[in-house]
Amino acid sequence: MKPSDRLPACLEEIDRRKTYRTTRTREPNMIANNHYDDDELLKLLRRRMRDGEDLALAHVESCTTCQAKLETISQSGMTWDEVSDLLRPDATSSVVNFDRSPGLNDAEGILANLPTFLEPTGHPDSLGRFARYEIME
Amino acid sequence: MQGPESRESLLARLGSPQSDEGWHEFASIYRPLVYRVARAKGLQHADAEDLTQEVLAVVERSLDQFDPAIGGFRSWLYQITRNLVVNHLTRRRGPIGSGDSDVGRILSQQPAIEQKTSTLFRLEYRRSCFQHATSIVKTEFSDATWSAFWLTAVELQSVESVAMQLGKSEGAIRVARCRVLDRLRVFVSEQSGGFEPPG
Repeated sequence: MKPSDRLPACLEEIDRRKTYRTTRTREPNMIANNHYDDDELLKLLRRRMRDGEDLALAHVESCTTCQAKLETISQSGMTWDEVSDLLRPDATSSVVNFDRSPGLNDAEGILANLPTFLEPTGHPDSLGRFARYEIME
Repeated sequence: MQGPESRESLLARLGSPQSDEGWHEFASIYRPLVYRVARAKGLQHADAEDLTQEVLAVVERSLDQFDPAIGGFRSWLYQITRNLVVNHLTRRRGPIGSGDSDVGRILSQQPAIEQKTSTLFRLEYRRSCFQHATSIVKTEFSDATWSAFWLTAVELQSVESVAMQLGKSEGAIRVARCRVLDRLRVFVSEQSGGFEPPG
């Protein structure tokens, strides 16, 4: 290529990227740098990919970039700590934090009296009692 | 349960008998919610249990006073239950009341005096919604997928450790927990019918 035939530097970069996109993109649902976009990841989360789910799953399970995007989509602003706080069977952390706020009475007594979620039971198949109910599973 | 559903169908779903699906759903969320708020505010187990029963009974007796013109049904349920609990816990007025003639007053009472208890109620409502969702959604997943979620997202064990325990790759653990969390959020959102508790 003669010097006068060369593209300006900025156009060379665009041309190079175009070639990269063409040669590296193998799956129609993947964006240029070989990762799935948010729509496809949401479909993967909800098992709604029409085809190629196994391929997508194999990619995402080995791709930290797609995993990070998948976590962002699934969390939708929640943190894993918040999820844990909401779902722990004997979760009292928000209650504890709340009642440690200044100005509340008997905070220590309240903390000492906080129950575990389930009460003891004599039923052989029960996990415990909640109020008058046996929790079986 | 907001919007197009008629007053009659709402009452049919949430009216007696208590085995009705709608009432069961309501009780599944609000029974532990009221109990936990009561315990957190210092009531002993038996008193908290009594308050829970009493609140739910008053709400049930008040169902026929729901007026769709003033707002959504879930919002109405949330408000009346919260106000009953907050006012009882903060003012210690003794028996909650018969319900029928008190609904308007209960709904109009803004428990601003005890904003912290209202905030606690809102937090515990969210917790109850997610715990109720968990009991339903769990059956939709394999044991391995559920364990991957529970061990990492709830017990906060490391992904690496859980992957070793379950004989999966770390990526598979991450995908599994994301699938469960997404399903839980969708379920809670669908169940709420667009209702967001006031802050």
